[in-house]
Amino acid sequence: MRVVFPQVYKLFLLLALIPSASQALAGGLLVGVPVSMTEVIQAAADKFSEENSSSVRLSAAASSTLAQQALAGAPFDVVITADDLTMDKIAAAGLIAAGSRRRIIGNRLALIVPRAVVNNHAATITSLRDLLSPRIRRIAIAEKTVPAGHYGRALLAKHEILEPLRTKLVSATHVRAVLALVSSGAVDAGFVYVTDVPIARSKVAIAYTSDDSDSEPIHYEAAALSRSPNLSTASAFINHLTSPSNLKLFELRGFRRL
Amino acid sequence: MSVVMLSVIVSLKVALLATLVVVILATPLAWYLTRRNFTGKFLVEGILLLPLTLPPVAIGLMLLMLMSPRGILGRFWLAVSDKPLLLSWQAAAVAAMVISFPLYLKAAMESFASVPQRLESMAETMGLSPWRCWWKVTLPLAARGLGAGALLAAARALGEFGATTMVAGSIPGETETLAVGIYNSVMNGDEYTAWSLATVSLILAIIATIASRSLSHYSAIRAV
Repeated sequence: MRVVFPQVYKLFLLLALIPSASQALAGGLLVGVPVSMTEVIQAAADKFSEENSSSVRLSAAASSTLAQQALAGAPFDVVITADDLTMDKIAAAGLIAAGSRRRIIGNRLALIVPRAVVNNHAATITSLRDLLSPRIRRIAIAEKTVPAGHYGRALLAKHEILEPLRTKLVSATHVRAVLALVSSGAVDAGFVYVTDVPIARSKVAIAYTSDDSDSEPIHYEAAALSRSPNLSTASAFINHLTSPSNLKLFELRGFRRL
Repeated sequence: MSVVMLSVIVSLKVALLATLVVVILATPLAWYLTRRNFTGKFLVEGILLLPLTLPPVAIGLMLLMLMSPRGILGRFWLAVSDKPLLLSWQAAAVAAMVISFPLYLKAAMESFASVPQRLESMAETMGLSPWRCWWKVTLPLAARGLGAGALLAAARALGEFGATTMVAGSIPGETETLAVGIYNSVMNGDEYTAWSLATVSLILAIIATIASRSLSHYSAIRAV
């Protein structure tokens, strides 16, 4: 029994000191990405690491969480947000490297319904006003603090149906959670980005797509954090994201060029 | 290495470190709280058990502040390892520690309470120092209960999600644990990975629960 204690301490010390394999790579970038952009940014990052022989690691979360983490001092080199308000917050804290902030690409909101519903009665949903129908009981939308939630509510407000629909709205932590709710049929409709739809194409259908006239323009922004020790690689990565060849890749996935 | 294996390794690493620290810190504390009375004990116990009832996300928010390079934990870690604590696997371990701490503390307190004080005083009258008595009598008698508690804490640490995503993010192969991996793959429509991760979690949870149950069952039999 007596020998157990020191061994336990040794093991504990050993564990705490194990560095993560990829952390050891010098000059690697850590990029905070909004969940709705994970796959495309991963593809862009893979290409970038290939061409520049520097590793890029992604940490995905809702834009608001990314901002919170950045404000708390998380060691991101680059942060990508799904709107400019969130980026404004990071900028207000004086965290952004001068001249590194850039708009990358745009998106559109889609009102989606479960496919099972399409076969029954959802043929009735072709416009936002159809959401007022008593058949539609629950509408999933991302939380207010998440860009998708902000845009969605702004869209409803513009059509003057936010108030009457308020009791039907179900808040989800972010846009992919909305997608999961709609594809499982737990709700009757939901607001996601057009680019989110393909990953659940067999389960959801688009009932309505927003255009610039009825919603605030939706765009993603990228910026390097001034405390990054790899600022030049960070701005090279942002340049890569906005390069013509990469923008083409984004467009193929349904994003919209600004 | 596959995504599943990477998440399993991260999860086990996180849960193991968390459980070790919890056992080291909470065992003496649990003994002290069971055997000593002092004013404000009720309050101290209440505060220590708080993570059991607080939403993990709220704990994550508090930890985010503590782990920031300006926060006390973040500053300490930066001084020791020269690396930021946020978005590291150690940050995930701290989150898991805080969440699983009260689970182990409760189990350890019950376990110490079940040790007959009669045996301890007998040992002391036979000339054992209080410290030796603790090692030779109290700890061995409580060991099974403590082990059961540690397994329970480890199982909880394995599943921690809310506080973990907040402070550790979700970097595949580094901070993406099983629970965080399941969430991310569901969100990305990757059901195959989600179900593979969920199956592994299920197996680990079953092992931990059975082991924990059989340990506490044994100690119940021995107590009779």
